[in-house]
Amino acid sequence: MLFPTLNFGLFFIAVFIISWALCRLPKTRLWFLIVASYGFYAFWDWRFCFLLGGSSVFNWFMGRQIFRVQHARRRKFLVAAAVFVNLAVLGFFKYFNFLIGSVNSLIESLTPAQDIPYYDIVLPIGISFFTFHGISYVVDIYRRKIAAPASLQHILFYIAFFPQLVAGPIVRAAHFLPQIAKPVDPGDIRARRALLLILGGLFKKVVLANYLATNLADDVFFDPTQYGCLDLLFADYGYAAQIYCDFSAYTDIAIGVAALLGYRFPWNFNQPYRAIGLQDFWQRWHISLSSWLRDYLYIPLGGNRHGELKRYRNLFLTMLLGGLWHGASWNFVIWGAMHGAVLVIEHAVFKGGMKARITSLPLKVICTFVTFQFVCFTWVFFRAPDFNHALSYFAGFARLSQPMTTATPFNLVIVALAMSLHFLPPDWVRTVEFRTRRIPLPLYGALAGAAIVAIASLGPAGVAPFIYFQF
Amino acid sequence: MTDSPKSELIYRQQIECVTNALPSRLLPVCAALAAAAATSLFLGSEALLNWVNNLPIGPVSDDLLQITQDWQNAMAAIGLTRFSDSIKALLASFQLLH
Repeated sequence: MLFPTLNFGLFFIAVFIISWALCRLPKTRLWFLIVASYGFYAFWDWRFCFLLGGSSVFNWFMGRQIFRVQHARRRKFLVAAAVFVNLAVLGFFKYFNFLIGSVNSLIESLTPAQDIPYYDIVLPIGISFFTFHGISYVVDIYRRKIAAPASLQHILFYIAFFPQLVAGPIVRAAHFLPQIAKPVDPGDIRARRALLLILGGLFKKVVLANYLATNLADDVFFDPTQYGCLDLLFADYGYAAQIYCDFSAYTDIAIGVAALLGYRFPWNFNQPYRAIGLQDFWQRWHISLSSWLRDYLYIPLGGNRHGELKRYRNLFLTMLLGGLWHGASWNFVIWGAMHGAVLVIEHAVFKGGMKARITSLPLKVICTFVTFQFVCFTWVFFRAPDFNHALSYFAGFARLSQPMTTATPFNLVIVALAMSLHFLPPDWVRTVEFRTRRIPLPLYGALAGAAIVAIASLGPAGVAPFIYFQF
Repeated sequence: MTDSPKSELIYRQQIECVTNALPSRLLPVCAALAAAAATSLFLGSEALLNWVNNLPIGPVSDDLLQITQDWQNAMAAIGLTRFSDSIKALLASFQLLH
């Protein structure tokens, strides 16, 4: 069930009405939202509801054990076991065939032995996200960031809550569990902001991301050999705009939907292509993932506590594994490694951070331009189905004389619109909300309804799944 | 090179984007969602018809199809489908520019 569909609209209205009707019965309300979230997940494949439930029950059980045990070594062993099981499940579904493929390639290069057979494994949607939520819970218990282990009901809700279930944002246990423990307040619904976020998200997904995919990026990335240098460059920028619009749209809608149900999610995007360096980029792009990687991977690896060299090693490893998290492909490993390597260089050259060192406007403009070019360069590996495809994409940059065919006025306007979102005031949603505060809420809703119809009319027929669903 | 003493890990606070938003009460929010749904129903009758057309075939969807078709005809008769049609026409003419 995709957000920008009537199916989801009807589902959400039903959930909204029933959940608020139950607001005086907090436990019943939570059970209802859990059932609704499992129903939302079952829409894709009901069998994986057992996996989702099993993951939740396992993490709840391990959380209780970790909390009870006082002995430091046993606590460490339990948290390590919990993280291992979570990662093993993720690894099985996501990386098993990738591993077999890599081993087969190695065997073939050494000896003409028989290949190891592949297994028909379906990747459960959102597995990376709910695994990270589970790890966040057990690690937060271990680190005593959570005062007491949560009840099974709270864990089931925390991991399965439908707005963030399949593509984030990654909500930390220490951040979200206290919200679940408190009854929701029917006098404090952030509806205006929520509606603005939902409308903005719908526009970015239904209009911008969909046209960028269907009119530009999909065709060029499908067969880059048919296009010349300028088309390839334009399609790469188009893909950069598409992935931003697609993913930030999902999280904006998720934040808005959660807010209408009385819950607060963290910010996930902050105009990432305005970043003056890669460190800055990762503080603006998929913020909930980069901060998760920092707290649950980079710091356990040692962080910056053991000298410069180990700090760079940890940084590089974090980005490498962050790349692999996105998918079972060498392209994602290369993508992560490139980001890791440049981050290391950036840290080594600009000790104390680029933001503190680069203060003049012309330098900031140059750094923003260079960072954007680098990010776009790496998006080719991210988007291309395999390494050879990415290489053939880059090889096309030598076809300088081939005329440009993709730069229609329509495509130019769509790319410009998508990129212009980065140059709006950072708090534009708040400003619009403040300026429209005198409009009565029912009229606000009617205008939102008209805007939804306008967005649906503007978009192409059908809605493609969000890019981050595959991760 | 010596290791620094292990300090307590402090999480960077996750920034919520609805923290400073204006609060509303449940009843007006319900009215807003009802108004949004009603407006979509009136202005987006064609999208509704398309949705019903894509439902699995069965006695319920047959009845629903008849109802939404009648609804769409009624909305077209009073000119409310022009809202969506004019946006589509404008977009189509823009897409044809070369």
